[in-house]
Amino acid sequence: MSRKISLRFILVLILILLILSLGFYLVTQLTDLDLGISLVKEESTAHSLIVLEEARDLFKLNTLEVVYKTVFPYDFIPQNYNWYLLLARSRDKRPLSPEDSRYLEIFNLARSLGINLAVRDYSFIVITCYVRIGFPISDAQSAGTIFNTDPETGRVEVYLPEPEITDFILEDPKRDTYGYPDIAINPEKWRLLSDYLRETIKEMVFTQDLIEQAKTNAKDFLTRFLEDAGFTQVDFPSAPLQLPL
Amino acid sequence: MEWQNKLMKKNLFPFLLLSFFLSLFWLIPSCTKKSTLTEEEITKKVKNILQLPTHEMVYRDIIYLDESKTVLMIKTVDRRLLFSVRIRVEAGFDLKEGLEVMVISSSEVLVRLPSPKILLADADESTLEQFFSRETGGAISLLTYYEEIDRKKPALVEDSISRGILFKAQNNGEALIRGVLESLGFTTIRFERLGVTG
Repeated sequence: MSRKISLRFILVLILILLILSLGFYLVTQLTDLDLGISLVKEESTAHSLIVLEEARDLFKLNTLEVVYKTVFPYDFIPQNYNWYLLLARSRDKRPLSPEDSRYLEIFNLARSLGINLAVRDYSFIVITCYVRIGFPISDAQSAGTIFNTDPETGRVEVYLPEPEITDFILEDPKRDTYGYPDIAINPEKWRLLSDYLRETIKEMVFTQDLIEQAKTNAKDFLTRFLEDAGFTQVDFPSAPLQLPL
Repeated sequence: MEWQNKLMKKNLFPFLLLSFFLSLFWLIPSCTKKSTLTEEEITKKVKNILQLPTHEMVYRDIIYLDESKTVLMIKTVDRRLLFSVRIRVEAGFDLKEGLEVMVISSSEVLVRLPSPKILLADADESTLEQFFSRETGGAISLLTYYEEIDRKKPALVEDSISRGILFKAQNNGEALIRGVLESLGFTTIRFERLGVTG
C-alpha cells in the first residue's frame, strides 16, 4: 500500500514540477522577465580606434563595372571530384596536371579556412565582387599628349591608353543582407581567401569583349565632351601620338 | 540449447559477412559528394558607369573583439581577436549625372559639373592584419567582425567630409578638366555646379 502511495506521490510530484517548469519558461519567454538566475552566461565586447593614415589624389576614369557573385569553394571546383585520388597522388609526389595543381591549391586553401572538401562539409562563403575597368588619366598624360587639335577643320585626335582594372572591391558582408550561414573564419584567413579571389576573378573578368566595351564607353564620353567643346570630328588613333619637342 | 549454439557458430560468420557487404552497398553511394550548386555558379552583371574619382582618404581601423560563454561556471567559449584593416573613402564625380560644356567664345568655355560625392567607403581586405586570435570554441565569425567594421563607416564618411574630401575632389576634378581644355586652346575656363544657376 505504502509502495503504491509513494509511486503515485512521485508521479504527481514529477507532473507538478513539469507544469511549474513549463509555466516558468513561458512566463520568462513571454514577458522577458530576468530573475538573474542563469546557468549560461554570455559576454561580448568590441572596441575600435580609427585614425586617418593617408590622403591622396586620384586621376582615373572608370567606365565599366562588373559585379560578380561567387560561391567559394563550389564555383572553383568540379562536381564529384575525386579528392582522395588527388591527395594520394600529391602525397606520393606523383606529377599533377596544371588543372589538378589548381584544385589542390583550392583544396588546401579551403582546408585552411576550415572547409574539408574530402569529407562531408556544408560550409561555403558567398562573395560579391565589384571589378571596375577604366583609364588611368595621369598615365595617359605622361605617356604622350592626349589631344592633337586642328582648329581649321575642327578635328581632334585623342590617344586613349589601354584600359585596366582600376578597382577590385570585395563587398563587405552585412548581417542583414548576407542571408547565408555565417562562417567562423578569422581575418588572416579571410585575407588569404580575398587574395586568391582577387587574382582569379581579375583573370576571369578582364576579357577582350569587356575591354572593348570599356573603350567604347570612354570614346562615347570623350566624343560628346569634345563635340560640346566645338570640335566636329573626333578620332581615336590606335598608336600614341608623338609629343612635340 | 546446444543445437542453438551450434547453429549460431555455423551461421554467424556468413551472416556477418553478408551484413558487412550490404552495409557497404548502402554506405558507398551516400559517401559521394553531391552539391546542388552548378559548376559555373557565378552571377555576372556588367554595368556601364562613368565615374571620375579624384581624391581618396585611407583610414586604419584597429578592432578588438571579445566573446565568452560560461556554462555552470565553466568557460566553454573564449574568443579574442585583435586586428586592423584599412578603409578607403573615395570621392569624385559621377558623370552619369551630367557634364555640360558651353563654348562662350573661341577662348572662353563654361563647364557645368555635378556635385562631387563619396563614391566608395569600403574595407580593403588586402590590408587585413591580424595581431592575435584566441579561438576556444571556434573563431569569431566573419559577420561579427564585419558588423564592427561597418558600424564605423558613417562616422568615417562624416570625418572625411569634415576634412574636406569633397572640396579636394572638386578642385582636382576641375584642375583635370581645365588641363584638358587648355590643351585644346581655351584660355578662360569657368566652372559652375550643375543644377545651380548664377
